[in-house]
Amino acid sequence: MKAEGNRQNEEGKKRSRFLFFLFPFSFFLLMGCAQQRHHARLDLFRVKDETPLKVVYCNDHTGHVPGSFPFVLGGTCCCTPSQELIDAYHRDGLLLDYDLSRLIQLYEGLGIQTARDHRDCNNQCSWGPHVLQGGKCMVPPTPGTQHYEEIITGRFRLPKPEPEDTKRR
Amino acid sequence: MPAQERNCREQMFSENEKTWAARKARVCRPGSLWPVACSLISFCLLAAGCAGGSGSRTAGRSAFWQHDYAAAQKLFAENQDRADRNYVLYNLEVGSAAFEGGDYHTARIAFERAAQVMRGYGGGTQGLVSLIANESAKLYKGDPYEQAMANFYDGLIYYRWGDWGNARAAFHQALMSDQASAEGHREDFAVAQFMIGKCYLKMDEPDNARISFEKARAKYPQNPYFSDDAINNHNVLMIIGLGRAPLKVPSGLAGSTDDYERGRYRETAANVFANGKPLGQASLAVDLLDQALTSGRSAKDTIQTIKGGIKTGLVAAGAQQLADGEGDKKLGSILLLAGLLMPAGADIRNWDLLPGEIHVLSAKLEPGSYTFRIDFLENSTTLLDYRQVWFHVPVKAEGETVLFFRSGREKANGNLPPPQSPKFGEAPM
Repeated sequence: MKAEGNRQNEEGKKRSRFLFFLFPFSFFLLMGCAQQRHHARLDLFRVKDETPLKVVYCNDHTGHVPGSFPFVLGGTCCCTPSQELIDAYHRDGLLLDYDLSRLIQLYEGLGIQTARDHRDCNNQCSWGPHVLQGGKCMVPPTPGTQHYEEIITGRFRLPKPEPEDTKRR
Repeated sequence: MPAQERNCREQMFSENEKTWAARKARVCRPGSLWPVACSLISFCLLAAGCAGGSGSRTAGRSAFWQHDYAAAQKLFAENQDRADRNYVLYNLEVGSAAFEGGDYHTARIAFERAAQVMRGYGGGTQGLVSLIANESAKLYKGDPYEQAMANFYDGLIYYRWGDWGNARAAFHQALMSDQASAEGHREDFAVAQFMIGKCYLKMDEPDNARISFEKARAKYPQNPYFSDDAINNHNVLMIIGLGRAPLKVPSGLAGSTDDYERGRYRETAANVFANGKPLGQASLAVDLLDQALTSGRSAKDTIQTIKGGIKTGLVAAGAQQLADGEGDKKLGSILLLAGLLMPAGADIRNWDLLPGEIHVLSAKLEPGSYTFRIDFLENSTTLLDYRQVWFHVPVKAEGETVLFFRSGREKANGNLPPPQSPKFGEAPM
């Protein structure tokens, strides 16, 4: 009986040790298996010089570039419709058959949001990305951001397409 | 199979069965804590390992520190609606990424969502649980300086939009949050005082403005941008965040309380140039480490210290019993184990995406389009890889132009992607 008891004690000790080591092991195993996502941005960094970039696509912040006409009509102007803008188009002999309400209707008809609808979204809103990038947002990007410079120069990354159901509201 | 071997196997099986039955009887006897303890430990470890959202938060941080704020915002937003104990943190993270990325619309909503919970009385049950479990079990509401910053950012956005009433309310809320600080540090959130003063000026309340400016000057008398001349004549205001948030570290008995250290960053000053001409050096308007260190102690610190004391006491008593030749080994083991397993760790969650310092600079500039260069310095040495150049930044003809910048290594990348020639209605290539 005593021998049996001793053997049971030994078994018990072994089992305790096993459990003692099993738990930390499981912990690290689970930690290792936890889904980890990493962000990778591949473009190299280069210190900017101060030579201003050429504005290719104008907007409210850069000011209208004379001679340009709306991007949605095949031009390079992404300015928010206003009477001043219509006057500028007309001065350049462009869009002579358009008035402000017709231009606004054009954007509304295409489902494009402008700074008349909302502001300061930097094209991250649910209508985004920017119209240049294939989106429905033509709110001028925020100056002093990388996105702003990419949009006005037409040198931008294309955002990954996002499924409709996961888009932010 | 030979009969002898079969008999041997049956015998072994029978013995194993007996041993297991005996073991099971011992382990599972009434009153034994082993099964409960093992289950609890397994559950906690499983929960820790499978904590949801950690993947997107890690990736969001990675994107944020690489200044890809749009990606960070999307990743952080995956958790934004999760109503758990970190709800406030999730929203602060979205707010930070959106603010730094120039999406002020989303940032304002996220900061307000966070601020509402920070101000509220919710999370009572989790608060009670945190008294006996880990402190981090409670609903995160942030330290006073973090609450102040959430409201401060909210105020900045309203101010930029020219909504002086809401801006002033948000800045006031920032000061209210700072009221929880230690005695003598309750009105030292100078940048909020400064902005309240500016709101009062816009609202044509010069007497109230003067009181706020005096409070801001009392904290930073050397700040040239807090002077009447600068306030009355300058039309460009820059708010520049430098460095990284204070680090929250465990301290005290068994790491039961928290303390703050300076976040690790190199930049200490920022020189600003407009179209190549120097505008001056931005001046310190709030040091968040200073704010964190003067947050004041609360009842939770006392409770945490007591928990730390009990934990240390249990471990010490258990060790003494085990070390003592005549001590009760069983009692010693129980005390030691209880001490080791007792959750007394401090809550070291913090809003780590904040800057370490906020500097301000104002200037009088003619309306037009400017190239702003910001040189960040480390002990008067320019850090070239921190230099930022921003093109075609407009200065308005009317009113004040408000700009926000944040330091960061390799932030303003001169390597733009290749030119695109998009056509409306065609998918960009």
